[in-house]
Amino acid sequence: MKSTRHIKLVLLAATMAMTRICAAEDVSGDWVGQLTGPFDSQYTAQYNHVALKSAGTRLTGIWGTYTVAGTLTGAKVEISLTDASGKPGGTLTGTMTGDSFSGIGSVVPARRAGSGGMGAVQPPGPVTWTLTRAATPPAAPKTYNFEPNVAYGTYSAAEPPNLRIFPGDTVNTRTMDQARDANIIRHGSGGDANIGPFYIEGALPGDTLVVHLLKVRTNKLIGRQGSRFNQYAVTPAYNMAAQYDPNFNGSWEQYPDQGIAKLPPSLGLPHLTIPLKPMLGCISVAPPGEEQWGGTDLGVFGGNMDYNQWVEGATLYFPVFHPGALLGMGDAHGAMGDGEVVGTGLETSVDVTFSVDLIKGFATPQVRGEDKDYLISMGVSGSVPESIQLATTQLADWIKHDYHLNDSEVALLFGDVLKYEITELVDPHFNVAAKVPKSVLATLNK
Amino acid sequence: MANQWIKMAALAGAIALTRICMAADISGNWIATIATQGEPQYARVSLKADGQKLSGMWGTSIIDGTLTDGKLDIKLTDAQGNAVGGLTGTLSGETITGTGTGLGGGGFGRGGRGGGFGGGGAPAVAASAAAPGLSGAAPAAGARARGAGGGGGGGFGGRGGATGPVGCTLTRAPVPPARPREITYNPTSFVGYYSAKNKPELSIFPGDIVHTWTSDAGGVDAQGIHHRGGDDNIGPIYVEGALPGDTLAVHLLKIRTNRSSAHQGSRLNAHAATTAYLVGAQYDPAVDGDWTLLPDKGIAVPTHPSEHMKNYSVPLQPMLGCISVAPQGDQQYRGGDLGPFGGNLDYNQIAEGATVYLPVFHAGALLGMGDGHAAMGDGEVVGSGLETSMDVDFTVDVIPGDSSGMVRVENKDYLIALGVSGSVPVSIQIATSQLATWIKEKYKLSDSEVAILFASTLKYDITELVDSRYDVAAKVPKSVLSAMK
Repeated sequence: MKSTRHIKLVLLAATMAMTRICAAEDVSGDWVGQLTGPFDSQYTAQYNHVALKSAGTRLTGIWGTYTVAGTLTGAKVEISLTDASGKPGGTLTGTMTGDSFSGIGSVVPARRAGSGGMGAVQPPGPVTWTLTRAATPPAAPKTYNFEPNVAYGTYSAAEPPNLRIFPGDTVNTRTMDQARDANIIRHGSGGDANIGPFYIEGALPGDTLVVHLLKVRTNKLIGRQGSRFNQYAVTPAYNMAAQYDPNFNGSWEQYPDQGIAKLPPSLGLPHLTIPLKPMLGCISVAPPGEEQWGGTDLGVFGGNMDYNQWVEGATLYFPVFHPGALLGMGDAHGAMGDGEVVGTGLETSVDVTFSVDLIKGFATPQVRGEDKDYLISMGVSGSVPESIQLATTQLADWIKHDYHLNDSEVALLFGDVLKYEITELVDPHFNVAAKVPKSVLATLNK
Repeated sequence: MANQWIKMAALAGAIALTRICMAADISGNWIATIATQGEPQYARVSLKADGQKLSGMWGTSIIDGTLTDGKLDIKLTDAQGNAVGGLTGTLSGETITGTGTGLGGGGFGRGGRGGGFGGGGAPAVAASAAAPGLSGAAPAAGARARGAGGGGGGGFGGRGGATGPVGCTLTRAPVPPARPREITYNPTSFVGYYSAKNKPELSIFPGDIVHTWTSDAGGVDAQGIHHRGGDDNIGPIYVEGALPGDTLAVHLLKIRTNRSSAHQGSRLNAHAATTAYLVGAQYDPAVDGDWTLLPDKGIAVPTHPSEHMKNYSVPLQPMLGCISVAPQGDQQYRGGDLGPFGGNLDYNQIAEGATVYLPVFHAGALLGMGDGHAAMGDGEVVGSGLETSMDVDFTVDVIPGDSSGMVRVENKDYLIALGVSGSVPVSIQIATSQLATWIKEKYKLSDSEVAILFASTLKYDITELVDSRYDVAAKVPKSVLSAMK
């Protein structure tokens, strides 16, 4: 009895050992590839989704947009990369250590963000490389209650993640407003600090991060607002002649239960009441490369977009520039008119519930999103006219991609039903939204 | 029998006497046309004769004078009793001619507001506009205020008026019909230029309801007859009683498509998309932009749909791309242009139920309209809407003074100010400023109050990206405004 049991245990141990050996050799599955050139930091390195399949010593699969062909002999690996047109993309050699690979090689450098896809194709250059296993999602999505204890006044990939979540997970959290929050340590000067960052497992550059705003509700009874027009909102003559009251009380009382906000009575506005429509002024991923932008700024990474339709029920799509995307949010407004013409909304803090998803291998240049009624594209740039063009163009490219329309069809569609919104006039960059109603899109044959 | 003759003779004599008395009684409303070096200026004048004594109002100035043997001699004072000018003249039939000073300065109490949207201190602008009246340079004041409106400037500086006496003619103000008329107007004139030189085709009074139609931007009407084209406008229509410095309110009672076809472009305009996009775009000649309008269903469908658009439809939202008054002075713009006079505003909220407020630059305003679109997205990004002809019913009001210098609109939900200029950012500023000035006056708000009101409720529409000038609309919801008081 006793010896039989020992034999069984030995057999089990042997089986397990064999399984481990086989598993070590079976590199089939999903990996994250990193290619680091001589001038790259971890923030500018190239990251790709890699899928490998091994059969004997043969390795096949994909590395980003490249096709993989190679061998794995013992711990030694050799890989050659080929692009979609059959041209060689580079070669990699290295070794496997535990559950990861590393080595050196020569690869055609990736086109950098912001290069516009122009310029000559570079010859292959030296790289070091690694392959690490892609994170495995939990069996079922999780819900996190995340109490922020730090907020960042800049957008940067160097900010360490505070919570790691998987696509499908849901997070309950809260934002801080422009004022100090006793429980949140703020890094960086300037306004519009974002909580987070949230690291989304599996998100890599070139993907789209999907953020569903499930709940955005004010958790403060006060929303403070400025009462002078910004220079971009009115003519110079208007503002020169305007006689603003320096003591004007712009502290709105917010009544979330009734869904309204009331202005403290003034002579001409004894009863001004407006509907609450809580929005997130800032929602962001880390900007490309080593860029580090001020909290009030906005760009292709989102940031201080100040769009009054980024409210409960909206879904945002961000281009991902770094592994994990590094999602942040803040600058809640209880309500805001278009353009943020006085430089603020009803500045407040909100309780936020959001969930995330990923669209792998597709991204548009800037932020886009949707709500119940519209597909919406942001256009952020240094001038309103250019923002109009960028918003229209990105929306056109998106709809052409999703609905398989040609250039004439999308032009006709826009000529009929396009809407614009001027969302941000007063921050370092301008933001214009272009949008089309889903009701009309629903009549298209994809 | 003889008795009857006597009675009749007595009656005739009584009537004759009455007529003589009436001829001598100049009481009533008059329009003064004041000659200047440039355009004529106008003032609304009310006269009351009591024996030889004359009283009344000359614009905002108070009249104190006499009428003796057809000779008029009046002095003008402002509300504070300061002398601001006077007139000597003669009455001949139903016309008074003469010379004087200070005749135009107070003519429009709020004429100075023409440029007011350019400055937060609208009352100060009005005061400064009135001030030249004291020094006898009055006729320039009204003109200057309107000029500022046109240019979007601050309403200051420039153009001095004649300092000496100027010639003046008074004629009776037109008397409206006892009750508003319904007028069916079949346009026969389609003007391709906005200009005060266009001869009015129809004369209407405020309150009259006009039933008419417009051809499409290419000049084709509901019957397929080709008229002028080039965003032509019907008319112009002379509005009795409308004077420079006034606001013409056009109530669009009905705007409905009146044929089953429309046409639209299918290429994005240079101002709507990036250069790279436009360079890379491959347009499909098979997408011809022909539409079939189905008003019963309230939709439009492509006439020759591509595979992707077999089931595609858009809701009909008929609008007038053009609505205009004659532009200032001798200015003359082509039908596709737009400015303070309106014109090719291409705003998709100028639809049935909307009221359009146009600044009046010339006597009679000279209203025109055209360029109907069955539907159009913002910005007219393909250079056209669903171009078609329209049946239009409208009525007008004249709001004396109150010109904001640019076009404003009101519909069920919003008060709206348009900003037309050569750049989108400036159009944004003008639209916001004009709306702010309007709301401040209408609701008696301070600068801080209107700023915080806009900060929480303002909306912008980008209405016109692709024509000679850009048009941006700024608007505030009436629901918030109505709860404010």
